[in-house]
Amino acid sequence: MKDGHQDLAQWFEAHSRPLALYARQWLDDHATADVVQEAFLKLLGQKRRPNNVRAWLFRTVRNAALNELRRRRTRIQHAQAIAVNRPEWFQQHLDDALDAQAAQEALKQLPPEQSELIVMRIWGHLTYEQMAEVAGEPLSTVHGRYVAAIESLRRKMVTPWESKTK
Amino acid sequence: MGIEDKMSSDLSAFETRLSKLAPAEALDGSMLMFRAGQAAGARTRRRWQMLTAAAVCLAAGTAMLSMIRPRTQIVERLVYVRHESLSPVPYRPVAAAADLEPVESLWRRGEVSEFSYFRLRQQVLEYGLSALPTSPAGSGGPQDTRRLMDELLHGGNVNGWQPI
Repeated sequence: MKDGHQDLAQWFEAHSRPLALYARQWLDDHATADVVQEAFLKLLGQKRRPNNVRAWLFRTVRNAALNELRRRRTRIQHAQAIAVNRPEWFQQHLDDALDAQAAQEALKQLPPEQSELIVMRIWGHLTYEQMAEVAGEPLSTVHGRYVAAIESLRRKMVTPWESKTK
Repeated sequence: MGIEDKMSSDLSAFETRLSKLAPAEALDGSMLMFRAGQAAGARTRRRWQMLTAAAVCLAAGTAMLSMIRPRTQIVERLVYVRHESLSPVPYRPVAAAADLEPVESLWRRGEVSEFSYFRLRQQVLEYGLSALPTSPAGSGGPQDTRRLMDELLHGGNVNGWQPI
């Protein structure tokens, strides 16, 4: 691709953080960085630019993350590794309406098939159609699963009192 | 009503609050750009490596072909050819030198032409070069030479020559 390095810098600025957050649903910090980096390099090596770069990146990261997950011997070892290595998923700001650490913990408690949809939708800004394409699921399934996930997340993060006052 | 709108206001508000959280930085951009440069260099290098490998394969193939190709073998065999035998040339014995009559005696007897070599030689020896006969007007040198040779070979007279 022509002007690939300029485009790469722009894509990196726009998508690297949501992609890293997305990959963290399955991988530890080190593997996340590798997978996301490889996705950008793979994008740079494409002869034709994908129609939707963002969706393409999410799909590539997902495939790479799941492959990496399968490559590891057991999920137990992987879970132990993640427990030891606890990177911060979000940057905490004083004016944030939600607690970053609480959001991270709540996301971790969700099943991966739900948390990945939340990341794709909230921080990746993908449409439901794109989410369905990335996840390889029907559109209605993805939508229903997303609504269930966001409700579950809200229950975990927002106290009943808080939800009434907001 | 589209699928995008099927959310309660509470959930939409929660989505908005959730989206305010900024994902943490997990990657080093400079490292990515470095690796992108490396990858671009590797692509160029790979192209040259492929070209070199193709040239090496071509050279090796040519060498193998030249080694495998059978060498020219020299086969020796006897070939019998039938042919009609030529009729033998009848043997004609050559007269012995001793049996030949001396030329001078022939000349003295008048059996040799006046312009024969032996006669001319005799004249030159006796009277000098001025005794040689002159060629008639209009006759060319080569023709004279030819006549002399004819005479020498056949012993005949030559027209137009006069004895001295």
